Order: sequence, then C-alpha cells, then structure tokens
Amino acid sequence: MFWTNRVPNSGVHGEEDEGEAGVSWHVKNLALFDYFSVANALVDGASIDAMVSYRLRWAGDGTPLTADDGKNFHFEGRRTTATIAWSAHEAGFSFRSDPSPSTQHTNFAQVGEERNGVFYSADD
Amino acid sequence: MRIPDQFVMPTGYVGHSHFWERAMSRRQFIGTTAAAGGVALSSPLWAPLLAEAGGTVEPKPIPQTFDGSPFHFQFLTPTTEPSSITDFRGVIGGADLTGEGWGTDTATGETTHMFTAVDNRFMKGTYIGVDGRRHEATFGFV
Repeated sequence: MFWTNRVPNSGVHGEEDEGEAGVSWHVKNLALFDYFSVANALVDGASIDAMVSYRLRWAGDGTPLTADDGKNFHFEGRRTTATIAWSAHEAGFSFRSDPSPSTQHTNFAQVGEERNGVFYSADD
Repeated sequence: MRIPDQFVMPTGYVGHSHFWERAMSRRQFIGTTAAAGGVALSSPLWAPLLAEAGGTVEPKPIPQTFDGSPFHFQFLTPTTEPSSITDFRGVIGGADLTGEGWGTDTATGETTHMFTAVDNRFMKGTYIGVDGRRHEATFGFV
C-alpha cells in the first residue's frame, strides 16, 4: 500500500459547528520517518525518526460532488474547504503550523461516501 | 523500509510490514503531507491503536496508478478516486492544503518561517482484505 496505514477508528468524528455538520480527523503522536525529500522517500533513502500530531477539519458547507469513472469507484459527497493544525518533532528540530485560517488555502477538499472494487455495483 | 529503533512491532502484526512503513520527508513535514503510521509504545495514547492494529488485515490498493508509476494512488481532484484502497465502502475525506508554520532548531532555538503542503485522507468503513474477508477499519493516506 502506498503511504496508507491503519489509524485509530476513534480519530474520525462528525461534528456540529453553528448548525453545519463538519468532519474532523484527529491524530496524535504518530511515529514516522523524515526522509527530507519526496524523491528520497520513494527510494527508501536515509531518514530519521519523527513524530507528528494533527487535527484536520472539513467544513460543514460546500457544494455537492459526485465522481464515478464507470468501472472502479463511485463517490458521493461534497466539495468543501478544510483546515489543519499540526506539529512535528524530531531530533534537533520541531515544527508547528500556523493555525490561522488566513494563512491556509484549500486547493481541494472533499468528504463523503465512496464505494469501489467489489462494492462498486453493490446496492447493499 | 526500516522500523524506527524505539518502536516495537505489536504481537500478531508481523505480516503487515507496511503498517510501519512511512515516507515522510522534511519537505513533506514541511512540504507534502503531515502524518502517518507507526506506533510509539512509550505513549499510552497508542494502546487503543495497538489493539486495533493487532487485528488488522491489510487492504488492497486501488488498481489505478499515478502517471505510469508503481504507486497506486491518484491526486485529489473532482474526478479522480480519493481512496487508495479498493474493495472499500465507507466514509472518506481528503484535503489538499497549503499553509505556513514555524520550524525550530531545538539546539539553538532559532526559528524559521516555512510553507507547508498537505495531502491527507482518511478512509473509514468496510473493506475486503488480502484474506478475502470483510473487515471494518480506518486507514489514513499521508
């Protein structure tokens, strides 16, 4: 699996915010490697241990979004905006994101339901 | 990929080598992504995850690959598949974000303003694992 890992079930929450139902994903103290560059990561080059925590939140508003390639997957949900607050630590270095929404930009965010593979055509 | 020295593979999880695999670069840290797998046993916060991970059957990747590479994922767009696992049905969230933050040299205390880019996704629901059976779990793409 490419950069896909098991995470705690309890980390994902639906939440109400001023009447809008958003979704949040909270991860605390995840251990990982800092490979210094994406290219180095892809070849499993030199790395050091690191730890990261973050809270990612998808807003409750947005526009309906359906995506379906006709054979692999069907997604139905909404396109929305998201914000993240995160921090990371490793030997000799730490990082903390600026939590201000004014310094963040959503290039693309979506939340919804997907079915794919053997579930692509399933009605149940 | 190697396992961090201070981490211990949970009992019963040896067959899932990728659970511990993490490719997060300084550029990802500070660049492309923000988090991922692996468990620090020194933290009690991880007890629930260890319990969950101990019974986790690995999912299967989506058939699509990125631009001819061996990597089974697609960038987040309105028309591409957000999930990185197949035979999946559930709730999914994906976010491609840019932002800012501050890095600190912990030896000197010197801080540096940095820009960040994140592509993080969760997949929570039912999946058919490599064992051919149905399972319930949450996965993160980071």
